[in-house]
This record gives sequence, structure tokens and C-alpha cells, in this order.
Amino acid sequence: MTDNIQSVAIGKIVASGAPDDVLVAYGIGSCVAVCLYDPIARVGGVLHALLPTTPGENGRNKNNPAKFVDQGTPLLIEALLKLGARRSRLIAYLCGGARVLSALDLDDFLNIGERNVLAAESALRTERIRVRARATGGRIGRTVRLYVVDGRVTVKSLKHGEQTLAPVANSTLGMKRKGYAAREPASVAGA
Amino acid sequence: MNGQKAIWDRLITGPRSEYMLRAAMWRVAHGLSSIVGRTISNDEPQVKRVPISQVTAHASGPESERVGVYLVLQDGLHGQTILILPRMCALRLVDLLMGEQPGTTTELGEIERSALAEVGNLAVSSFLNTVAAHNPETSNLMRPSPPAVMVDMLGAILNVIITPIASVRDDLLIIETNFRDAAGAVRGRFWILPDPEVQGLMA
Repeated sequence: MTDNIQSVAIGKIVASGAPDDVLVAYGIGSCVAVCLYDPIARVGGVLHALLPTTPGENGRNKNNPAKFVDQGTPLLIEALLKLGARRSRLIAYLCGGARVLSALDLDDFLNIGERNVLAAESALRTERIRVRARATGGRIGRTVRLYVVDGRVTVKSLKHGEQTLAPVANSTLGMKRKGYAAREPASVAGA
Repeated sequence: MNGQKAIWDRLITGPRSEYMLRAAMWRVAHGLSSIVGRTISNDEPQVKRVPISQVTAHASGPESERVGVYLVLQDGLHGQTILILPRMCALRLVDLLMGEQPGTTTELGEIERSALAEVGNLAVSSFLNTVAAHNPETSNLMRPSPPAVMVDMLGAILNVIITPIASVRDDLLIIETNFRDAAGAVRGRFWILPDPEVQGLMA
């Protein structure tokens, strides 16, 4: 089977149930990639969000809601449910949220990566979806790949090369939440 | 805001916009030529609107290793600037700046990054000096931040410039030119981006 690369650009959501699809968010810096996978339905999706929360009084952005973690995460879930996923089976992985820029006196601006990760955690908590593994923070850019066929997630950086963040998704793990919740989520080094 | 919007207007859409941008970018190329000791030329400057989702692809491959020299424009003219170089070109540029044989520099440590930061400083100062010459009422108010040098995947570097604009816009207004020497050993892109609020006003 040949991999069919589906690029997930900034401010986009891609969800798929096609086994040969590999969803790729390239060169993530302070952005965050929220990856969700249902190991029974074998459908997965990636949100590549840029900012933690939607600005403005009404908190909605009609033009491009996937730029924002708070709006994009429920939309990603919705897209997966339409493909046959069940919310209770979804496994989450987080990637990105780095602080690539380490100079300049712009604290709020520099913390955007951390705030993106916190927003993703919050949005997933609201949806009762646990984060199984993550490669977040640090000072490096990353590329994340989600293989729809088996739920594998890999993370690549210039410093560390390509590493497996999550091996082939075991269909039982997604349901044995209590058991795996006791463990620390797996992580890939960042700095 | 009105004052700086007027300057950005003149630069981007005014009747002498083309002339001013050409003069400003020529001065940048001239400044770069003087510090590297060889002729650096530049393309015709262009003003582009690029959707956020396509910004990285517009510049190059998102995973490609790049060096970004980033400065924020403050005071009289708010915005961002970035000089983007392929890593090999950055190494070559450092060789020229240090008076070393080509291939001597193989890593970008503190000294090498400092040298590249100075290149960014020079480029932005050259640009601002020309803008100030055409806008004398603000000539004392233009000041760039200290430069920050980033070495990473292009996508990660560009997150830095996209983020401040993304909360108000779905696209980026970019003033762009490309620099190169005759041999192509030194080449890069130079972007100037108006303040996010101005980007919105100029939609």
C-alpha cells in the first residue's frame, strides 16, 4: 500500500477513514496539532491550530474557525463522528506548542505555544478525551504524521529525527481508560 | 495608528509606492553588498497577500531547514521583518562576514548567530532609513527591536510571524524581495509585514 499524504495546513482540519491516508502537519512551531484516532472505526483526524482562543466578544470566527484551538477541536471531533468514530473511543495526541523564538521582550507573544497546548488540553478535557501521548513545548519545530491505517503517530524534528510517539493503536487501550489514565502520558523530548 | 497607517499606505498603495519600495530594497541590497564584499542584487519588490494556510508553501517546503533573522518594527512604524536564508547560504554568508574560506563555517553557534543578527539589523535599518527619507515627519520614530536568530524548520520559523496577524486576518500582507549574489551562494528572502491592525485596515 502506498502512503497517500494529506497535508494539514495551518488553520485546517483533515479527517479521514481511508487506510492509505497519512495526515501530516508540517513544521509546527508554536502551533499545536491535535491528533485524534478511533482504533475500532479506524478513522483519524488532525487539527493544525495557530491560536488558543477565538478573540472577540462572541468568541466565534466564521471564516476560519480551525485557526483556533477552542473552536477547532470540537469541529475535528464532529468530523470524525461523521466518519463513524465514537467519542468514547477517541485517543488524543498533542504535538507542537514550542517556543521557537527565544529573544525579544514579548512575553505574551512568546508564550503562545504553551497557551496553545493548555487550550488543547482544556478543549479535550471538556470533551472527556484523554491525551495518550504528546510531543509539546521545547524550542524546536516538529512535523507530525498520523497513519490512518493503524493509528501510528510519528514526530520528526531537525534535532531528533523521526520518532514514534504512538505505536500502532491497540483497540483495547482506547476503552480501558481507567487503566491507562494511571500512567503518565508518553512524551517525546522537546528542547 | 493613523500616522503609521499613512506611511504603510504610501509604501504599499500610494502613487510613489513602487519607487519607494524599489529604493528601500535597493538600499538593503547595497548595505548587504558592502558588508559581504561582493555584489548582492535583489528582485523587484512585490506586495502580496498570501492566505495563512499557504504562507509556508509560498516561501518553500515547510520542513526545509532555514535560518530566520527576525526583527519587530516599533514606535513610528509597527510591523515585522524577517530575513529567511537556506542553512547552507547562512553558513556561506558567515564565511564572507568573517573573511573565511568558503566551507569554513559548519555550525551556527553564538558568534555565527550574532553575525547573522547584524545582517538582519543592517537590512532593516537600511529599509527604515529609506522609508524615513520619504516620510520626514516620522524619521525619528522608527526603531527596530534587537534581532532574533532562529534555526529550524521553515514552518516553525514562520509561525512566529503568522501568529500576531492570525487573530485579526486570514491572510498576510507581505512586502517581499529576494536577494542573491551572482554565484547564487548567498541568497535569501526579505519580508516586511505591516502591523496586524494596519493589515486589517488595508484589506
